[in-house]
Amino acid sequence: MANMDSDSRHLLIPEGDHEINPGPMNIQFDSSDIRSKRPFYIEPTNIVSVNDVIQRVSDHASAMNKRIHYYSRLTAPADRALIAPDHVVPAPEECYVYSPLGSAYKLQCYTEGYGKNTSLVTIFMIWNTMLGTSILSIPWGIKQAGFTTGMCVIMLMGLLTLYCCYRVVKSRSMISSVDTTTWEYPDVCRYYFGSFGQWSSLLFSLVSLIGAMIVYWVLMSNFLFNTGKFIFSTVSVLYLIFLVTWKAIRLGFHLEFHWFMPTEFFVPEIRFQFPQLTGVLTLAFFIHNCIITLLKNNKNQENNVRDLSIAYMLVTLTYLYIGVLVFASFPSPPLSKDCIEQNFLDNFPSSDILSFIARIFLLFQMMTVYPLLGYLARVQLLGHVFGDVYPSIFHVLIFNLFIVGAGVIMACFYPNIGGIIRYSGAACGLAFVFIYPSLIYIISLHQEDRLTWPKVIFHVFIIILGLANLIVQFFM
Amino acid sequence: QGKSSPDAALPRAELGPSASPRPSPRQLRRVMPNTAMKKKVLLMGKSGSGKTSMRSIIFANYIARDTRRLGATIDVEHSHVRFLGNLVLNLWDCGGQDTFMENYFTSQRDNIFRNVEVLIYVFDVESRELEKDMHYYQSCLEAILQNSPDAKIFCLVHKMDLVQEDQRDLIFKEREEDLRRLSRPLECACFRTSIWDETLYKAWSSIVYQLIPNVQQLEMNLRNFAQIIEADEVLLFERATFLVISHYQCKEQRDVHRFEKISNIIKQFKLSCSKLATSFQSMEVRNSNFAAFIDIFTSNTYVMVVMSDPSIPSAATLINIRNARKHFEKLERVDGPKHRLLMR
Repeated sequence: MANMDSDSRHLLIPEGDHEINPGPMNIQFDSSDIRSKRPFYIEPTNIVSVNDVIQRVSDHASAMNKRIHYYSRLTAPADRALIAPDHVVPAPEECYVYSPLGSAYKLQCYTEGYGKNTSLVTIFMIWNTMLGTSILSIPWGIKQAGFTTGMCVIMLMGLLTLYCCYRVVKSRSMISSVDTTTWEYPDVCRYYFGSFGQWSSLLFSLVSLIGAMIVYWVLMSNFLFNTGKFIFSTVSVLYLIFLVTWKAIRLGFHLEFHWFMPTEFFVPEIRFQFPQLTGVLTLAFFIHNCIITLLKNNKNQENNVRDLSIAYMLVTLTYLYIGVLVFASFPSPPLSKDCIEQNFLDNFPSSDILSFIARIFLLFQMMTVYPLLGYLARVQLLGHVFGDVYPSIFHVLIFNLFIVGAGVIMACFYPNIGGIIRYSGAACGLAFVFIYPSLIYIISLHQEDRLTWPKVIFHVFIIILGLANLIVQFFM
Repeated sequence: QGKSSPDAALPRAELGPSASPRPSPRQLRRVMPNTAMKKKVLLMGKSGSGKTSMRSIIFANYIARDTRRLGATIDVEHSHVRFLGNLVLNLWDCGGQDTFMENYFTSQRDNIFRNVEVLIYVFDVESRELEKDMHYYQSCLEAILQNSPDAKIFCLVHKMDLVQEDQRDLIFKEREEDLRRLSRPLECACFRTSIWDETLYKAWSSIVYQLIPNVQQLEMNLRNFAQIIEADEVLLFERATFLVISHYQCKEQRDVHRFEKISNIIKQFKLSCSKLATSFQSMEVRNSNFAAFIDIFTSNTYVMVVMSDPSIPSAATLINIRNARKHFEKLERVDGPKHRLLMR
């Protein structure tokens, strides 16, 4: 560096020729200041001490930064060979803007609500979304299946649907060639099955939505017998839990275990109508069409599987609790267990205050959710068929008439929500819960040459279970 | 003229920034009784496996356009970078779709594989044609066994960033076993690499380390040097690529990525210098906590000295480096007449 000064001065400011670009100057100083000709020099006060315990930029990120700078000098701008792909660049919330003067600050997250929810919030959101009207039919389902069988079926179905949900969540990561960050599950289906996949997933999604709306209408017309005041929606589930607990305390337990033979007041522990319970549970544990979106907002993405499992466990416990308590506390000496209605609130008289309040909560919850479901159904159906979510007022009018009409007809002629739930649940669960996740997993493993026979057998078995679940509903 | 020399038979190359004119082999033969051909480093692999990017990154070249043309002359990636003094890098695509290319490869096989010091074969970890890849690799090995049986073989399993993190070790181990098995009786060293982390730099540093004949002696001398001048750390870089050949540190350094970072920074700086038609020679970075000196050392190496005692003036360290230079150059020349003559 001994000759640096004279050499650099020559390079930077050619004598007497001010039209030529003087080259890089020290930007900390004015160009008239003699110090601007110095090599870049940082004032000592601005240098972060190497003994600082708080590291602002990780070594890994700093190395990646240098690497990307260097590679960008090696290629022409049009050449994409050395441009960093998305999977090596840190996520937006890990990026700092680092000034050579020693300060660093974090970029604001530019996507709203991106990854801001803690695990607790995510678990609660999944639990809240999954708990739906099927909760009212669980005791009836247990009655149909038998007490012991019912409890076992609830736990097994919970595990099975959890596994399929896990497959749904992992499905995007098996696609390495395309950017899947904005995809929901129907997009994955479209990737693997082409337009058949897109249309069939749309169809099954509509089945679940319209089925839910019909159930809602039936229940709302039922609850409208009892008018009342308005309260918030999650509270209705908590209130149901309270109601059931209270009634169980008041009524006490009435359980007798007869394994195969029905008696005057009790049903056998194991009954052949247990598929009716599985049908109900398919819809009860259904969240597969929107789980990806729900988990996207989880702050720590690596906890996704754990949080999902916890949420499923909580939902299973809730169903078990309500189902078992209602079933067990149902006063069997005067009444037979067979009398448990498909909507267990129907077992209470209209004058019973506590169940009256439960109906009010549920009524309000449904009245607020019904238009939302209608909107989702309209967006999906009209959007795909006509390309526009609001083609004209006539299209929308006819669509709404159809939906509401279906609800009214069902309420008049077949107000058995247990039946509606199990048919629609088994139908749409067939696609989203059983067939698509397993099939897509098998196909992606096959594409990566990682397919083994045990995996094929296991997942084909799941598909067969789903089919059997649907077919058997029609025979019961 | 009789049998033409192997180099003349090779097509003229598309050249990078500097092409040193080589004396014709017949002239060389008159001067030295031993054949003193420049030895080759072959960088081979399937088309699209990442060789060109790798070469650009390691050697700080702009990426050459794909200059392959059908016809009587085929241009091949052939750079005259002086690498470790006497090595020339040749880059070849194996098994392209071009049948003309394949025929050429077969007919010129002996020329290509003669005088090879190192074969670096690049495998794309995402390749769906494993059988074919292994087949081409084996035919290269056969040619090596016939023409340059002493060559060192290195296999790079590349683009590992596209594999999920928890599966990388497993997949690499599988490939390594297969490659070791296929390479017998030759020995091959395998590395897993990606241009998006430090593995590429580490792999090439290991390769360079194994190519230096008296590297242990070099390391010992480096340690003595560092202790004498009371340096915190001394690094020895290869001159063309800034790959770390050896280093000595007297206390724990926090940043494990510093070698690659320094290499990238300096190569970027070299690119800037070449735009001004200058070349980088040396650099001093100093603050209240440390002083670092990067300077040309021997004809094949650069040295970087890091001093954390700010009371030692720069001039003292620079004198020390200058004196050590002579000693280390002697070390490099210790290998006898053949080696010395090639040092010019």
